[in-house]
Amino acid sequence: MKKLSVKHIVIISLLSIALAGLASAQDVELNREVFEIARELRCPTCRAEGVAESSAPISIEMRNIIAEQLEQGKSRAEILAFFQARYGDWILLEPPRRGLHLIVWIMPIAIGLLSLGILIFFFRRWHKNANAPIEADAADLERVRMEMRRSANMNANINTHLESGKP
Amino acid sequence: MDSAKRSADAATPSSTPSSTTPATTSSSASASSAAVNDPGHEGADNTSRKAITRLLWLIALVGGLAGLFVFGITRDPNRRDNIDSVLTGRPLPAFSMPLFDRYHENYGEVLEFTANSSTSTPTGQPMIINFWASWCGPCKDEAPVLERTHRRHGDDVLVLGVNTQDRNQDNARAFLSEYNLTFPNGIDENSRIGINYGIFGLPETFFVAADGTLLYKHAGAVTQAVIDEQLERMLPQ
Amino acid sequence: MDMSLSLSTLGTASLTLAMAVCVYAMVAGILGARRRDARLQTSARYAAVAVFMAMTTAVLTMQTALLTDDFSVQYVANTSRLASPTWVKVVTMWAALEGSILLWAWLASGYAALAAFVSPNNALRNWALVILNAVSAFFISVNALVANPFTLVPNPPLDGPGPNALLQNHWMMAVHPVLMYLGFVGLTVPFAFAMAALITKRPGSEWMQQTRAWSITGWGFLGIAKIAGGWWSYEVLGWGGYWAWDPVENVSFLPWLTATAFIHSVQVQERRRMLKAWNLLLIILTFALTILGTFIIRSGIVSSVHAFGDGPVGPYFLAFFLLITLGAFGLLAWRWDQVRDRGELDAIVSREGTFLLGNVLFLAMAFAVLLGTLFPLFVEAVSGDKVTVGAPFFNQVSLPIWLGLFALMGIGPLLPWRKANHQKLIHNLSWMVASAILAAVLAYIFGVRKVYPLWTVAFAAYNFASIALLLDAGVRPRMKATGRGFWPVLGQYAQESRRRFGSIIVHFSVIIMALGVAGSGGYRVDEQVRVDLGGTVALDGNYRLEVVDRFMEQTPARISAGVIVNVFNGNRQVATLRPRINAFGADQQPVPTPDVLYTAWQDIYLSVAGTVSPDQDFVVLRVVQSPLVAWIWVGAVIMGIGTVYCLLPKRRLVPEPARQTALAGS
Repeated sequence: MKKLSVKHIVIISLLSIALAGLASAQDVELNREVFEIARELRCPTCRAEGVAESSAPISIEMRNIIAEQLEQGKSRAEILAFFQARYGDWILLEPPRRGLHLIVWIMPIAIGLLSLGILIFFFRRWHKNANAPIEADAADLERVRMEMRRSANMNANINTHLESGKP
Repeated sequence: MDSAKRSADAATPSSTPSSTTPATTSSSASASSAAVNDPGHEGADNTSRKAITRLLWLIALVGGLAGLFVFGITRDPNRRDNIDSVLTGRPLPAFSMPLFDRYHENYGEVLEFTANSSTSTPTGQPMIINFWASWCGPCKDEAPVLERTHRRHGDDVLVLGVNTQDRNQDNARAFLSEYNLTFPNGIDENSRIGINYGIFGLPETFFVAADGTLLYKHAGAVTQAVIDEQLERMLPQ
Repeated sequence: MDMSLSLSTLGTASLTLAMAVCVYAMVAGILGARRRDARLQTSARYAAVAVFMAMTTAVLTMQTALLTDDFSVQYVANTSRLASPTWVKVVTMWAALEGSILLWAWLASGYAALAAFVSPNNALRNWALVILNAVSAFFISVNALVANPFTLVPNPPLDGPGPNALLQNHWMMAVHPVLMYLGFVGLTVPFAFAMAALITKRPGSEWMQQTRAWSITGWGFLGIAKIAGGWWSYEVLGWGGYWAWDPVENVSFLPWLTATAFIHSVQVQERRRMLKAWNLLLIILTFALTILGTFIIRSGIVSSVHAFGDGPVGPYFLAFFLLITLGAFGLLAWRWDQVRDRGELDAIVSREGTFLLGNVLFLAMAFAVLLGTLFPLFVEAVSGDKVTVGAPFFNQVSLPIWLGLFALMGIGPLLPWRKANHQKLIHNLSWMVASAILAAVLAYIFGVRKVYPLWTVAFAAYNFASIALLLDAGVRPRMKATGRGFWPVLGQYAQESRRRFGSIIVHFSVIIMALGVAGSGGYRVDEQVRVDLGGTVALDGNYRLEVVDRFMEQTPARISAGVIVNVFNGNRQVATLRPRINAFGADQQPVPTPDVLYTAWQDIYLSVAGTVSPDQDFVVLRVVQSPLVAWIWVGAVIMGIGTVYCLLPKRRLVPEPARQTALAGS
């Protein structure tokens, strides 16, 4: 541990001043319930952080408000409604389930069901393919018969050649 | 093998010759399967039409995405995170705010704003409530505008400044001196007033009717044009 | 002054040269392919190497500028700082937008050069190289034309602001971005070969088999990079979490999901000659999502903590994304009928059936995550409203899908191709389901009451049973045949079936990580406590914190103030933690550096809330206790090992009797 010189004291004081605004706000003890509720709220001044994660002054204050209201006996729903009344639906990390926002809730399920449906459709077709014999029309059958006759003739010629001993 | 290939070729006029190269047995399998699925010559037109349909669907989908993204990048970056206040048209929350020393003489030590009383605003007049902080750049731009408004319309409209989220009061006082603001400014020590008013950035300005209801919230630096527009609504003609 | 002029000029010149040679390589490649001109093709290959050398020059120039504090180079002036330690200056190269593009372009050109000389000489190679060079050309052009980091600053400042404070205080900054880009660029190679297959109309298995190693390597890097990023957030951000469903995290997660689907469904093509067109679609989708991700991150259309901010590159990336999507998917749509195959499925309950279902689940999750990330933009476009889609939404839609994937992951490897033997299936399933139920009941008794952790424990046991059954099925017949013991046979099995064994390791690691996520996600405890100096506070379990004293630290780059805290488990001191707050220079916000005690069962995570000042005799600490978090990081290491194992070449073993005969005969 370094001994604190004047320079160090100045530096620590500067750091403290920089955070002095947060000091009193952060002297509060918060229990786990506070953070569980904070995890459902968005920090209003941050770019994309939740109240439970962010260290912005407004998030600190919101956590303190949550702690106070919990002590007053308010429920989770009441606390969320408190912030919703001031900021609108935007403050909630979970989109509301009404109006236009239903799209984001329903579409994953809809697409999932649709994909399953498509998959079943293809399963059926592929299953049929596996069980169906390969179709050939009359022209193909005739060609196959011709080829078989021709190769049978060729075999017969080869055999007679061999038997007759001709080179 | 040769004869099989020849018959496969003859039966599938639609398949392209290069797809039946001998190296890949799979493609000759696909050639014969094409024979199963597409017998006859209308196969070629059919596949073209299906291909065009597929392309159209693709273009539609990508076009939709492109539209969304073009909207995204052409939005005014300054207004990007703005949200309308949910309090519009409703009575604003009450607060009691200590004022900075320099205003004690003219306005008292504490300014009370109580909603739902007979004179809802402290002076019974419409109000312009401006939230600011000393470190906020656009606040510096709008400070002279607000001061001018106070000087011109101070008899009809109460201009009130709320200093919020400032790390220490010295910076705030320096700000007030620098812009020589004569309208009352107070301290929102722990951002409670800001939270009650739904602040998500600075500066924000609230235009309040005489009965304490919110007419309009402006996010970002407020301009003379905006103030003039709102004044017309707030002041009796 | 002369020196600084030449660094900026050298850098710009390297970029311009790289750009020009890259375009030449594309043209030579296209002409060489169409005319089947071997000389042009070879020229294109060597040109790819030349591009890489030019880009390497650019990178070395940037590093020189950073390490010599040359503030006449714009990027250095904007991003670097005199007081930064050397390693910070090196990583500053990718700490901001232009430099990160430089890194990506360099890696892309490197992969193109490697592919040019490692790929077997066949009809696919030329077109694949053209595509790879096209992608390199795009990224080089971002630097060369739109956002040049080497722009000359006429009046160089004396010092710069330094990189973002959060990017300076952990060594992961040197690792995570590089891993991410290795993942993205790695997956570009199978995409290029897939496009070559479409262009040359050879949609068979060639392109897939050639790029198998590239695909798995890219996928591996991407997965490890994501988890490394999570660990980095954990160690640095101060809230004790590793994944926040932040938009930037989400969009880089999407290619991993589709790539995972891809590496599974290519096996169906290998074995059953099915899904050719689907595999092409998947790899094109993976690459398109990569470009979409980088567009979203760098355009500012979605607000995020990690975003590089918006700038002129947004429209440029959008144009490239649209070009890629329309071009690649368009070509696939046009040639679809020539590419798709007949497809035969004997039974749904089969290996291929589970792979197909798994594909659907991965894509469903990718869709849900993309939808949630873009939904606020959509709502704003349609109605002007603002809405937030955050962690609660993403957790609700993705957790059930993960459970479904765990179910498939357990039964899939046990099912044979084509059709399952019902008796064996019932036998295996009984063991797995019984293990699951037993584990769930035990967990419930021991206090695990939440739904998702219980399900995760159940599926963990289900999967462990599956792995045991797999090993049993592989090992027992060999033991019988050769008469050797379990371990030698297991070793032999591991060496002979590298892919299977590697995938067992990877799936095992997934379960370990799932348990880590379930423990830390479901049962973490967050608290904020105020402790006097010298005082103690009791935590959950048997843990106790004793705050010893303040401390202060100073390095050239930062000033820090923190607290020394002893952590006790019962009466035994287990660790001393030193969480602190750092100031990296006057203009930047102080950032906290937490300190963590990692144990196998839970982490004790401390971060300073409030201040540490001489006239304050107490300290306020944020304490997070996360059960099983360390399992995630350990699981990631295991996954890396498994991935490498999958890539090791098969050992050719001569069977014993043949060898004996050969030896006897000689």
